[in-house]
Amino acid sequence: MYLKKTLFAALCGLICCANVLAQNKITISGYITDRKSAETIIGATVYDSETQHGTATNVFGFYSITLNAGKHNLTYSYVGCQPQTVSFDAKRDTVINVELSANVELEEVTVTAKSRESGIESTKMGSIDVPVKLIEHTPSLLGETDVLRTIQLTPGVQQGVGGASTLYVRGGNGDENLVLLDGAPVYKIDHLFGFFSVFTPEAVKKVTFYKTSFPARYNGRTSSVIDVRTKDGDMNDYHGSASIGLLTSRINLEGPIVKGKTSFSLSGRTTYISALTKPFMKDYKIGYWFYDVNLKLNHKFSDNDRLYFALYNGLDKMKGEETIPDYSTHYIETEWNWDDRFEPKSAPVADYYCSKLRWSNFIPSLRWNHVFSQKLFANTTISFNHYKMLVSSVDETEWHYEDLGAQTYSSQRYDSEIKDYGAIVDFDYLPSPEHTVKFGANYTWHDFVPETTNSKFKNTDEEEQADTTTYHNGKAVKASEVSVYADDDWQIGPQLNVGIGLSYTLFALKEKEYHSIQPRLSVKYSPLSYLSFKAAYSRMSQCVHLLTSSPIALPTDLWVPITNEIEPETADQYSVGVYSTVLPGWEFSVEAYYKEFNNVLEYKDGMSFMGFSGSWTDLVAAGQGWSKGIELMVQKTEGDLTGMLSYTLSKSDRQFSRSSGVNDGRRFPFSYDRRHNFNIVANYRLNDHIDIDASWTFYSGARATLTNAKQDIVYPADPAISSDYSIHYNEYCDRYSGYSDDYFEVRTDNPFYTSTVEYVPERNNYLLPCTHLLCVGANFHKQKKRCERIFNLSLYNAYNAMNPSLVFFDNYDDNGYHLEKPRLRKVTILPIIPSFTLTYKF
Amino acid sequence: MKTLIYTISAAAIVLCGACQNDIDADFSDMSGVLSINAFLYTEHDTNFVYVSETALNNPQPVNNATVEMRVNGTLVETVDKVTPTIKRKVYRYGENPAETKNTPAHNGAYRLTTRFSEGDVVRIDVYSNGRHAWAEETAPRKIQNPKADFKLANHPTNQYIELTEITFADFTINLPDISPENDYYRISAFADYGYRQTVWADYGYYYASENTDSICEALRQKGMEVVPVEFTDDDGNEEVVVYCLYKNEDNYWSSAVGINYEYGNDPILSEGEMTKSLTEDGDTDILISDIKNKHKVFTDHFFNNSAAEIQISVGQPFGNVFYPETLYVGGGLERLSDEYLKMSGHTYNMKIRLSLESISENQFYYLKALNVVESENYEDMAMLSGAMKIPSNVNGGSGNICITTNTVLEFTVFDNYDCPRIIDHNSLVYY
Repeated sequence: MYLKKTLFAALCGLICCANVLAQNKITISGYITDRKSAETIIGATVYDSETQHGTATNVFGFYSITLNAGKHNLTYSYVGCQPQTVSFDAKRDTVINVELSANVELEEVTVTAKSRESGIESTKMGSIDVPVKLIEHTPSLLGETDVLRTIQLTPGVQQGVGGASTLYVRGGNGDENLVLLDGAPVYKIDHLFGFFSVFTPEAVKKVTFYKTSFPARYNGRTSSVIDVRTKDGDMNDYHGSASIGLLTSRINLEGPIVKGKTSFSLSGRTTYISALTKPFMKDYKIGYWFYDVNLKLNHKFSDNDRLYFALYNGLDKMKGEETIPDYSTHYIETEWNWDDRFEPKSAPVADYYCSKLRWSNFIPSLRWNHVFSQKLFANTTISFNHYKMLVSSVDETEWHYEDLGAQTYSSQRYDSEIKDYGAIVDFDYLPSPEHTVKFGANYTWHDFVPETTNSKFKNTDEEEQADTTTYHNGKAVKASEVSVYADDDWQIGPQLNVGIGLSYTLFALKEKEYHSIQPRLSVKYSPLSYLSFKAAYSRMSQCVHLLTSSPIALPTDLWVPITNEIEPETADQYSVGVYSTVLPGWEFSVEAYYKEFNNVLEYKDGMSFMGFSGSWTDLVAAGQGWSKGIELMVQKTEGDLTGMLSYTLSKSDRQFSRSSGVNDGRRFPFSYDRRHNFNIVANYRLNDHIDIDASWTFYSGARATLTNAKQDIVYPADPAISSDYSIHYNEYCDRYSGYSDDYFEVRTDNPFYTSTVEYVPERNNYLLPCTHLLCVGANFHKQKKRCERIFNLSLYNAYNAMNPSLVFFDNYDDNGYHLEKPRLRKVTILPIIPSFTLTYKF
Repeated sequence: MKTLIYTISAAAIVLCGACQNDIDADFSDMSGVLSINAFLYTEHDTNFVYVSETALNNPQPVNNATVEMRVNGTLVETVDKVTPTIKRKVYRYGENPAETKNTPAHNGAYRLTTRFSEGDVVRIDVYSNGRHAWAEETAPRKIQNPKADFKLANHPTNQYIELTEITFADFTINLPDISPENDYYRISAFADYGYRQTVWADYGYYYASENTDSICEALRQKGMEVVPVEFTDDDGNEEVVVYCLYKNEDNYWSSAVGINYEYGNDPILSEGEMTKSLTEDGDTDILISDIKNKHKVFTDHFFNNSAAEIQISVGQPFGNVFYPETLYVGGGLERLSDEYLKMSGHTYNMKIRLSLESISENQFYYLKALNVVESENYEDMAMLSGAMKIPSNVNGGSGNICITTNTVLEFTVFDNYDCPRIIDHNSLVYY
C-alpha cells in the first residue's frame, strides 16, 4: 500500500512540475493518418527544424509536441510516405491532423523506421519495428508469410527446431516472450504444432519487437515483447485481398461503414490440409484444420474520442478416427489352450476409436481513446482472453464369445483453459518536447484451469444391464495481477536522452502475494547526427510458465501460474550499443548484452511433463541462468536492393544448486546455446513487375543430451516390479503344469535387482551439427483492370540442406537388423519445399 | 491420449522428414565411470552396496573395490571383498517354510553389517583402481504410528475375462506426516501365502455297460472317483461309460513376495491423476499420461503436517493363482457336472505385509525417474527431447545411495479360507 501511494505521489508531482515549466508554451497535437485509407499511422515522426525537437505518434496515431509560441515548421514523416511540412505561427494550443500520402517511388522494404521507439533516434535499445512490407517479403515456409519467422531473422533470436515459429531470445526460454495482439496477451501463438503463427499478415498493421529496453508498460515475460497491432480499417474506400496458397487461403476486406467515421477490417485464413492428405489415409483417418479470424471495428466520435472493437478468434482442430469392423472370425476360431489360459476368452467383434484435439484463442477487446487535453492522451481497454485446449477420445467396443455378448463404451475428455479478464488504462502525457511521459495501470484477473478431466465408462452385458461410471477431476487457480507503471523519455540536451521507467507488479494468489519492482533505464548519447551510443538496464519478471517436455510446440503444453513454492522468474539485462547512419540509406548497429536470470525453471533430472501436471512443482527446480552476446546488424533501407545482415555471437548457460537435482549442480549450456548466428535478408526490386526475395541463415549447432554409454541401476526390494518377477511367474507356471524342479521360490535375505539404463553424465553434452538454410522467393505483379495480381513462387531450403532437426540413436540398420553399436542419426524435418501463392488485391 | 499425441508427433517427424542420415557420434569416453547403488535400510543388520562401472554396452560389476561406511562422520566399516555367499531361503512344496542354504554371491555386491538409525548421516565411499566415488545421505525419520485396515471387495476387471470381477483386499492406510518439511514416502506390499488345491484329474474312461458296478468298485479301490454316464449309441443300444478321476492335491507356500498393488484414484499416489479401473492393462485405463506411479512414491504435498488417508487395493500375487477357474480336468470330458466341480477344493492362507517407508529425497526422484523411463512412450519422448539423465547423489561417479526407514504392518487376509467362487461355472467351457 505504501508503495502504491509513493508511486502515485511521484506521478502527480511529475505532472504538476511539468505543467509549471510549460506555462509559456503552446502544444500542437493531432492524429497522423494515411491519406488514402485514413488509417492512423503508428510511429510517424514529427520534427521541428527550428528547435530540433521531435516526437512520434503513439500506437493510436496520436502525437503531441509542446513548443514555444511563435513560428514553426513541423515536418511529418513516415517510412514509405512523402514527408509533409506544415508552417504556422502558433499563439495557442492547436490541433493539426495530418494526412500523409504513400510515396510510390519508395516502396522499399525496411526493417526500422527512424522513430522514437526504435533505431538510432530512439532512446530505447534492442527494439525493432518490423514493417508489414518486410514480413510480406521474407521468404517463408510453404509461402506462409509469418511475423514470427521474420523476427527470427533479427540478431539475438534463435528459432529452436528448424521450421518452428518458437522464439528463443537472448538465451531465454520459449515461454519468456510476451506476445500482444492489440495489447492483449496471446497464450498459444502457433498453428500446426508450431509451424505457423496465428498472425495473419493481411490483418497486421505494425509489429514492434523489444528485447532490451522494455517500455515500462510491458511486463510479465523476461525475454522479449512482440507488440502486434492490427489494422483499423479504411475509412474512405472498400478494398481487400484474397490469396490461395499450397496449404492455406486468406482473405482480407476493409472499408468504411460510415464514411470518415466508422470502418471495419476483417481478415481470415483457413487451411485445407485434410483435403490434401485424405487420399493417403486408409484405416486410420486423421483430419486437421485451423482458421484465424480478425475483426476490427473503429468509430471516430470526434477528434478527441475514438472507439475500437477488436476480435481475434483462432482454432486448431485435429481428429483421428479408426473403425475395425469385424475381426471376430480370427479370434473365435483360435483354440483355447493351457498356455494362454489367462488370456481373454472373449473377442472384440467391432471396435471404433475416435480422438479429437482442439485448441483455440478467443480475444475480444474494446478500446476507448480519449484526448483529455493536447498534452494528455488516454487509452482505456477492457479485454477478455480465453485460451482453451481440449483432448477427447471415444472408444466403443462390442464383444462376443459364443452366446455371450457385451458392449463397452468409454469417453474421456481433458481440458485446459485460461480466462483473463483485463482492464488497462494508459496515459501519454507530453508536457514539453523534452519529456514523453507514459503512465498507467493494468489489472488482470487470471482464471487458470490447467487441467480438467472427465471420463465416462459404460459396460453393457448380455442382459442389457448397463453399468456406468463417471469421473471428474479439475482444479482452478485464480490470481490477480496488478501493475502500475511510469515511463519518461527525457531529452536532457540535444545530444543526450534518458529513458527512465518503473513498473510495479503485484501477483496475488489465494495464499501468497508476490511483489516485484522492475526498473528500466536507458541512455542515449548522440555526439553526431549519424552516431548514437546507448546503454540500458532493465529488469523483467514473469509469473506464468509453460510446461512442456518437447521441443515441438504441442497443444498439450500447459500454462501454469507461479505457486506458493515457485517464485516469479526475473531477468536483469545490461546492454550497450553503438548505432550509426553514417552512409545514407544504411544503418549500422552493434549491441552487447549481459543477462542474468533468477528462478529460471528446468525439469529436474529424470523428470518430465508428459501428461498430468498434478504436482508439477515437484518436477521442476529453480536456478540461475546467464546469457551474454554481441549482435551486429547492418541494414540497407533505400534503393532497389534492400535488406539486412546480422551476426550474433552468444553464450547462454544455466546452473542449479546441488540439492535441486539438476545436472548434479554443475553448470551446463542452454539447449539453444548456439555460438554463432548469421542471417542475410535481401529484397531486390527487379522492375515494376518482379521482385525477388532471399534469406540465408546459418546457426552453429544447438545442444542435445545424448549418450552411447550404459550404467547399472538397482531396484528396491520389491520383486513385483523387478525383472525377477518373470522368474517367479514362470516357475509357478512350470510347477502348476507339473514340470517344475523341486523348489520354485527363491528369495535372498536382502535382495536387490539390477537393470541397465542409459548413462548420461551431463545435460546438453552433445553439440549438434550446424544449420544453414537458403530460402528464395519471387513475386510477379500484374495490374489487372480491377485488381492487382501477385504470383509468388518460393523455395524453402533451396539447396536441400540436411539440417538436424532431431538426432537419436538407432539400434537397427537400414534393413532392420540389430546393430552391435548403435548409430547416431539426424532427422531433417523440412527438406527442399517449393510452394506458390496467388494473391489478388482489389 | 498423451501417448497418441506423442506417437503422432514422432511419426509425423519421421514421416514428414523422411530424411534421415547418419552423423558422427563424437562422444568423449563415458565408460569406466564408477557406479554405486544401494538401498540401505535403517535398523538392518545387513545392507548391500552394488558397485559397477559404466560401459558402452554392458556395464560390468566391480569386484575389486573397497567400500567404506561412515556413520555421523565416523568410519565404522571397511569392506574390500565381494560378499562370498548370500543366504537364501528355499521353499519346497508342502513345507512351511523350507530350508536355508548358501548360494553364490551377486557380483559387485558388498555386504555392510553396521546398523544405523533414523537421523544418522551415512556416507559410503568406494575406491577402485584409483577411482573414488562417494555419497552421503541422512537416514529419514520413521513414520510414527501409522495405521491400516482392510476389507475384501470384488472389483470389476477386464484383465483376464471381460465383464467379471476379482477379489481385492482394499486397504485404508492412515499415514501421519513426519514433519512440516518436505517428506517423501513409498508404500510397498508383500505377501506370505499358502495354498492347497485339490484337483480331480481325468484318468481315462471304460466302457462298462455290463458290469458297471464291479468296474466302478475296482477303480474306487485304486483311489479314484468314478462317474458312470449312460448314453444311447447310434444303434439304439443303451451303454455306460465310466469316467475315472483321480484326486491330486497341490500345496504351495511362498513368503515375502512383492505385490504390485493398485492405487486406483487415490489422489496421493496418483498425484491427482485419474485412472479408470484397478487393472493395469489396456491403454484406456490411464486417462492422460502413460506414466504410472509404478514405484509407488509420493510426497506429503496433499497432507503436509497432517495425516494422509490412502486407499490401495492388493490383489493376488502373480495374477490369478487362487482363481478356481484354473481347475484343469484334462481332455475327454466335455463337461463336468456341478457335483464333481464341488469336489475340487481350494484352501489357502494369506498374510499381507505393508511396508510404509520414509525415503530420502534422492530416492523419491530416482524412483520417479524410473517411472518415466519404464513408461510406454519413453522412447518417443527421448527421440524428441533427448536422453534422460537419471538423478544421482553420487559424487565422482554415478548411481544412487538410497536410505529407507520403514514400518511394517502385517495383516492376515485368509486363514484356511475356502476360496470364494466368484465365477459362474456354467459360463465356463471345459474341453
